[in-house]
Amino acid sequence: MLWRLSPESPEPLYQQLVRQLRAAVVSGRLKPGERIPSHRELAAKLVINHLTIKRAFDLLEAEGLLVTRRGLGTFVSDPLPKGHAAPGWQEVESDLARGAETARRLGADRSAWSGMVDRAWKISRTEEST
Amino acid sequence: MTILELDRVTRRYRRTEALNQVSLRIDQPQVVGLLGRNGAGKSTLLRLIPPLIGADSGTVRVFGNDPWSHQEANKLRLGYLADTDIHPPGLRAQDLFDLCASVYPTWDPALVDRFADRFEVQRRKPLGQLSKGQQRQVGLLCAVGHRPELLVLDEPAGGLDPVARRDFLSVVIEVLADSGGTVLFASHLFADIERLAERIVILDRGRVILDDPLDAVRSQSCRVEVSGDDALLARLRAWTPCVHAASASGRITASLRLAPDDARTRLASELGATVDEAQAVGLEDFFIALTEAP
Repeated sequence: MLWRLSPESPEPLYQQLVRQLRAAVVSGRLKPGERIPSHRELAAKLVINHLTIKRAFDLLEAEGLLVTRRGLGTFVSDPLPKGHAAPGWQEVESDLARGAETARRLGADRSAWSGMVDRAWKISRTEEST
Repeated sequence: MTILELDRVTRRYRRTEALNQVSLRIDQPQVVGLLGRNGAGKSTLLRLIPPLIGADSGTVRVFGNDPWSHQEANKLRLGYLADTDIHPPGLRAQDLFDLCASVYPTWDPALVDRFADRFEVQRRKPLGQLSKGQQRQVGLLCAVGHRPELLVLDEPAGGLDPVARRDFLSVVIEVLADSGGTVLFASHLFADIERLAERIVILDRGRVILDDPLDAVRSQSCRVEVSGDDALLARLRAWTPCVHAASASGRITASLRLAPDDARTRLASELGATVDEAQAVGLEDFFIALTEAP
């Protein structure tokens, strides 16, 4: 998978990793049972401290999305835990979470954010009908 | 076991106090990023470790020992890369590697060869004829080749192009992932600090003004805008969480050591101020607020 990590963002690197890995799992880009690179391999590839990656993996393991099998590596859980069964929805949620973060960073408050979500919904309906 | 301990260390150069009562402890293996403006005392602090200089007062302990009387023993457990290249330009990289191999019982030629090959270091040419990036890379390999317990890097990637910088960082990261250990590095490059450091120490005019886990620094910092007069500005500046505050045309902008949501509630309850806006800030913006004049 392709990563988009920005060390300058106010969002900590491990959270960026968690968000992107979760999105890859729930959207099906990473399949249940698929092996993912070890935190050492990823540290070398992404050039970030391996402990940061381990921390992201640990969180996703606690969520049940990843499992580590001793001596074999880390895998996407197969089957995925309940609540992650509707992949489409989960991706929407993580897209929204990212949007909300950006909006917050740009100084939007809650009502401005709700307004944006409403407008996006209306725009999508217009596009559907044309 | 304590890896590094500075206790109220002061060091002067003529009349300038480069370090003023600096205390710093590293008790367990971790990566510590040392930040500060030019002249803040970063290099002076790092030079106490090999040691290249001594403290005027206070104590320095490296691996629990006095760095001068245990210089030889400590040297085998320590890697140090100065901010300027100190190797003779006529020497070839291979000569340096051979020299290191004869000095350090734990020297790992396979590790050094792997990186030297990956970055196409020309080992048979005098160092003076290599690019700046390659010279830094050779210096780094000499500092990590014996897999030191404590690696001290002074402005390691200063002046390197982005590719050379990334190559440089990847050596540190891979050695760290392999054999653990402690890294203490000074840098102006915030992206590199974010990639590597678990803990941040900020020096300003010879004093430690911040020493916290990176995540705490990130989650506990924000910038707010409030409406208010000079009286509020003065109260803000005297308020403990406030790092920097300035006003322009009736609006006050302040950098605070608080999460954005806490900033709203505490400004309201403690100073009676209403926050127009509060946002999280990145490490670089926070550093600037912390170290610029009030």
